Amino acid sequence: MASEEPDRQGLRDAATILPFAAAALLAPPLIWIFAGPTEPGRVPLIVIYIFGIWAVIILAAFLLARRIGRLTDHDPQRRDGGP
Amino acid sequence: MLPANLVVLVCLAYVAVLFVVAFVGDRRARKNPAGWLSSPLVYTLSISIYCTSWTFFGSVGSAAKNGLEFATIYLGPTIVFVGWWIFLRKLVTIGRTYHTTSIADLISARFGKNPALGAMITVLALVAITPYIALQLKAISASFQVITFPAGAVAAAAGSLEPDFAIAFWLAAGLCVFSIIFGVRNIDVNERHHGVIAAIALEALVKLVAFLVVGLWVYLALSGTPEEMFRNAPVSLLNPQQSFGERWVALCFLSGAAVICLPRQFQVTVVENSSEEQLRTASWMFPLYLFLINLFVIPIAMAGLNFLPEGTDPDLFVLALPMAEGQGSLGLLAFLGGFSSATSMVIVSSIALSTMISNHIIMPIAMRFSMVPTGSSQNVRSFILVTRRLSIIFIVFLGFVYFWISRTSDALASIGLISFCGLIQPLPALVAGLYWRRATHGGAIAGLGAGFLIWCYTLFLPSFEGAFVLSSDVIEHGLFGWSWLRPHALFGLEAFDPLVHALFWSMAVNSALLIGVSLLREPTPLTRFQATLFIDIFRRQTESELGVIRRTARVSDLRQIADRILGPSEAVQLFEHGAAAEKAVIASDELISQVEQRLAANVGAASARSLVSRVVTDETISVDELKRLAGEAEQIRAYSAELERKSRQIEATAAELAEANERLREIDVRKDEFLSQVSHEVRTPMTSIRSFSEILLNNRDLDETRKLHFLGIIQSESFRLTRLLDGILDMNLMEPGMQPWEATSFDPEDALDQAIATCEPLARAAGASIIRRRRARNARIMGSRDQLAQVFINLISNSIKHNSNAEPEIAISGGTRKTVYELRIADNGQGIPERDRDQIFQKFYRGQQTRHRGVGLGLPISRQIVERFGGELGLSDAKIGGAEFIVRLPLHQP
Repeated sequence: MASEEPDRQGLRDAATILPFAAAALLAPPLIWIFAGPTEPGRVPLIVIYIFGIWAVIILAAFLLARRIGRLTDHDPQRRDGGP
Repeated sequence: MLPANLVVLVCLAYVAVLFVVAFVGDRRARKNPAGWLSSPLVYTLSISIYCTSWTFFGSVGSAAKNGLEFATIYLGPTIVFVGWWIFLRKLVTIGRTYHTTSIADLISARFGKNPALGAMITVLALVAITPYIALQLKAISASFQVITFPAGAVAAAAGSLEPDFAIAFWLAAGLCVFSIIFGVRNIDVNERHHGVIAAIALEALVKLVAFLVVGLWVYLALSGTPEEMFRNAPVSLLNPQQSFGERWVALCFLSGAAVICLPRQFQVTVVENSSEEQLRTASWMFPLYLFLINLFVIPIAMAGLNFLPEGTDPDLFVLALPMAEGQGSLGLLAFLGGFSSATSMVIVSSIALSTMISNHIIMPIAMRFSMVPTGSSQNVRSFILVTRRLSIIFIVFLGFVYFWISRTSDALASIGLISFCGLIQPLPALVAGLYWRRATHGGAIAGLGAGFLIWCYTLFLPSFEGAFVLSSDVIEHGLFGWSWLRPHALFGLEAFDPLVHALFWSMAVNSALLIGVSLLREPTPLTRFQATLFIDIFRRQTESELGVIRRTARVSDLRQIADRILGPSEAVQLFEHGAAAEKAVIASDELISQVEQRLAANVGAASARSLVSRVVTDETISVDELKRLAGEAEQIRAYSAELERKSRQIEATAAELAEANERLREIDVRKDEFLSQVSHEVRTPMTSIRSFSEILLNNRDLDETRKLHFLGIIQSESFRLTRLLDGILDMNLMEPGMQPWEATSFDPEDALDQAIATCEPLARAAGASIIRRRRARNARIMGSRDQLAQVFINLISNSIKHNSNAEPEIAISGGTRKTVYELRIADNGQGIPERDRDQIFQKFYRGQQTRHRGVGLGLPISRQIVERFGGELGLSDAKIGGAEFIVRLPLHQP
């Protein structure tokens, strides 16, 4: 139990940071970096960027949810969802 | 084109499948509420009603016109869902814990169960959703017309078709029927609708598969190299710098807020939720769904621009592309996808709104003017059901009327975002309600009202372009000609486009008023109490919270209300929990709260409160207590109480373990004793058998009588040995889990007769008399007759063997008492010493003063047999001189 405690804190922090990181990556000014004019004959970079980041966010959320799920299932007292 | 009959037939078949799925889902859920219908996958699929026909057809249209802007509508919800830990988790837990029925219910409950707030949100939702429903009806009728247009789909999509109201009408009627059958079948605790959810989940799959199949086909068959694909792309896609300004951020915010606040989203995400696991899975699976359904939007949009003639409505690319290339079945699949996305939205929206209308508008009015029918519980419940059914018809047909009225204008095209902007007005109150203790109902009402008015004035009414309430002159020059009141440039703010402008002003004024008005006055005690419950939802609840509200009410009055609203069966259940309290005249605070909570799950918190308030005579809410609860000290106290509780639990477990250990040791010692006893017992007959057989072997010349005598001893010793081994064997056979016996129904007195007959020679030898006092008549019990006879033989022979009286006497009397057969076997011996009474039934135990050296197995075996009959074997307490054994067996009632 004691060794899990820092782990749990870390997960909680990650779960809190994830949406803010996602918002920052998908909003100006960061998004402007990839919003340059497209060279003819290429897939616009911005399309690849947005869909790529989108997929990465989903993957991160998946890994996080799985780890949180494992912690919660191991500890029956937390099944009610208390922090 | 496709033949209209075929399309109608396919639609009807599809709807029939939906009906079956909903029906089966309802039945399965009633049998097993925790079945696959509660799985995270079904939950996630149901959330995807977020993707309406506006997604299915509109995303492509938006991509063809505005580039990547369509993605904002899905990126906002993605951010909200991957951030579930921060906001959604709290919201969903509150909704689950307090059985919230809608967003109006949650907000009104949080702000002191204020009925006005609930009603306001309901009206706002109704106004904002009606055009949205109209949009869905339009999407289905238009897509039907396109794929069945005689001159081909491309021509249909290029020209402007006169909308077909007959299709829309029958569709609306069908949707009403479905929603009423599966959405308002009964008034349910938690307001969960498993049948509807099952059908919605199927529709979610259909629309995803349809879109992916069409997209994949377009990508493989039409797209070609990137150069070919993007040759007609809009500037906003090729040079997107301009796209990521305030409109991008505003749209992300708008859609993120909408996925929380839309009544239908609230319904599927919060009301239908049954565990945190569901939300945890949805946190990534719902974004994944959004990602997949948007994956092919750009290829389809680009292919539409490349291959379809100029002037084709981009909103119909999904349909027109397969039709133009002669892929009729793909076109039909796309049509079904659009059909699914539109119908599921209308169904869930109308169910969610009907609950809101019934709980927050009709019920309060009906109670105010005493229009709720009195009398039997059936009346009240059917009153609620009828209002909900009528509300569904009202909502859907309001959408139809809106569609009919707005046929000449383009007002529907942009209604999606306009509707979103109106529906998210409860957001500030919702967020403040979950995190800010000072927020008051006054602040919430002021903010919500102002936000609603600004939305109407700056966005909704101008969307009619002068055809409704606001004239085009007012839209152009402002109310009364005051230029600072221009709807699209309020206070001279001209920098934004109308949507961002309206979103900014409505949200800003809404939040400012919420905060400002809340700070003016202290929240009422009830608001404060509800704030504590909601904001500290994850803190462990302590008993002291129940002590905050003190109320007095008569149990009979409460019971009457519960009977009327919940129905008799549920009311009985509710009052059974406090069985002791039922006898009391005055209800405990706990019971009153419980009743109120259960009512709230049906009619909403505000109505439940006003119902309960009618029978509550005296109510006080201790503000000091509340302040203490919210304080730091109380949180620490609750935590340490929790720790104490846990350590007590651990101590108790340790004590139990120690006791079990002690018992095991004792049994071990007894087992050793027993083993040495057994070996001794076995050894004695073995020794005599061995020595007598040796004598017989070595002395051949013994005379016949002595030989016979020795052989007799050998035989009787072998019998003794067999009996001993049989006893040990019986003991093992009776262990739990051993062979089942064949149970028959028989008269226990027969078994007794058999036992007495068997014991007769023994009694005669000991000079004892067996007296039968009473016989039970017509008693039947279930089990094995021989086994029971064995028990009786054991008991009777014990009484004979252990009887030290000069004239031994055994009295036996049987009888029945209610459902029990009782047999008493008493002797006139010296009785059983006090210290042995508990132990004679223990395995391996032998009495202190045993004269007859048994193995100590008879009584434990007997008791095991009797327990197997479901009965009990014990000693009577009566001091009658000797020992009295009592056998009680349950009677068999055929």
